[in-house]
Amino acid sequence: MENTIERYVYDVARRLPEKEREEVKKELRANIYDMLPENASEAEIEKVLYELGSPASLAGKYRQNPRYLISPAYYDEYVSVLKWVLPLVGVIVMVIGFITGTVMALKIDTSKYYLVATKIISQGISMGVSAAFQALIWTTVGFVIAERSGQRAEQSGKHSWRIQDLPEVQKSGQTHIPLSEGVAELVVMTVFSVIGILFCTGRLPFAMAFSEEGLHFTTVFNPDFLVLWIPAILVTFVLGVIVGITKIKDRRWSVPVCVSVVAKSLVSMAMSLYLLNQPNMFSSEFLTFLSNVGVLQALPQVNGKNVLLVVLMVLIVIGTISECVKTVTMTIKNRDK
Amino acid sequence: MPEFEPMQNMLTELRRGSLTLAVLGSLREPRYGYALLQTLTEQGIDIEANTLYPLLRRLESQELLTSDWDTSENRPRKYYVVSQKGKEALVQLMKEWEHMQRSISAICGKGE
Repeated sequence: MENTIERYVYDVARRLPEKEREEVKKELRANIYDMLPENASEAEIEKVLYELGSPASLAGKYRQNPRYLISPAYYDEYVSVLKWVLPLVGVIVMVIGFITGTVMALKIDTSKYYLVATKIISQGISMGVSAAFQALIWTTVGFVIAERSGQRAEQSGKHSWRIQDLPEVQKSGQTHIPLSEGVAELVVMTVFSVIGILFCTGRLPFAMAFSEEGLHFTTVFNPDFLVLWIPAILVTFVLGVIVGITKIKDRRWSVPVCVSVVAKSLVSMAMSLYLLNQPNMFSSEFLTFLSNVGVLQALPQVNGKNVLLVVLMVLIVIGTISECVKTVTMTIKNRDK
Repeated sequence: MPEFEPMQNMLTELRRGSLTLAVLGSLREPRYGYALLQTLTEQGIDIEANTLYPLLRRLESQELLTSDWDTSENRPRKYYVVSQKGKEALVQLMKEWEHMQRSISAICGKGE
């Protein structure tokens, strides 16, 4: 019968800080025996222990400061960060996985299509899932560190929050920029710039074509043309980072946000138009391939340019103008209120 | 026993703060845990063992209670008694208690 009590007392104490364990055990043991008659039966012991409740809940009541991995103070923020970080990282890395899977599969064997497909899909999914787990772990670690250091700040008498941290009251018009938008922009910008530069420096053999022998690599673009893209990507990257940072800093359509967005749109439009007007865009192999297939002859020319290029340029101009107009309207609306 | 669950929570909430007052008041003379539980229950204070024992430990760590193990009998018992700091806290808490009782009565009205 003593064994039951000892097991209960032990189960409570093991959940407490080490320096308190012995004292709590002694106290609890004495209290339990006081609640029991002399030579109590096993049934009487059980009744008393059930009255005291589960060891976990009793230990919780003994603990001075309830301990959380992530306390309610941070929990909402933690969940809202995970909600966009996990899908974003997962999807981006999955796409990278598809690409590397393709490259790897094509290097091994291109004759068995089902093997290629399996390789691509498994590589994409496994990389995406493991990246999402990584993101989960590191976000959690970050919040746990915030939690622990936050507690210490509180104990040393400092305020655990600051007036400056209070969010701006959201106005009814959607002039507020969510934090996720700025962060997502930074992440997407970085990923695409890295991929773009790898591609333009020939480290990603993107281009491939079908022929009678199956899949084989050809370069779609002229290497001289791709080199021109590198400074353009770098400039867009820097401007994109500036946009991301001003959005994160201001979190509303302020004048700096507006200026940076408009500048970025106009500069990248100018660069795209310049690049699309280069004469030596495609590699000679690819042009030969296109004319062999008959695509080049089928498409009409406008002012000596392929119609597809013209359409693309018009789309870029329309996209940029609408982006600028939207940004400026948002900013004006924001200032009116 | 109110069958309305939020009612039960409200009652528990309301009682929680006054438990400290009851415990400090009863421990003007030394008592051990279970004896204190019985005293409080006799006085009509509804408190469970698993609330009282951790509360005693907390009050002791806040130096409002002092304790002493009595090992003269066949089983050791921990006796608690209110400290000087605890007595001062009790006076303050009692003042607040009376003040609140007056205010609540004035607001809610008597016998309504």
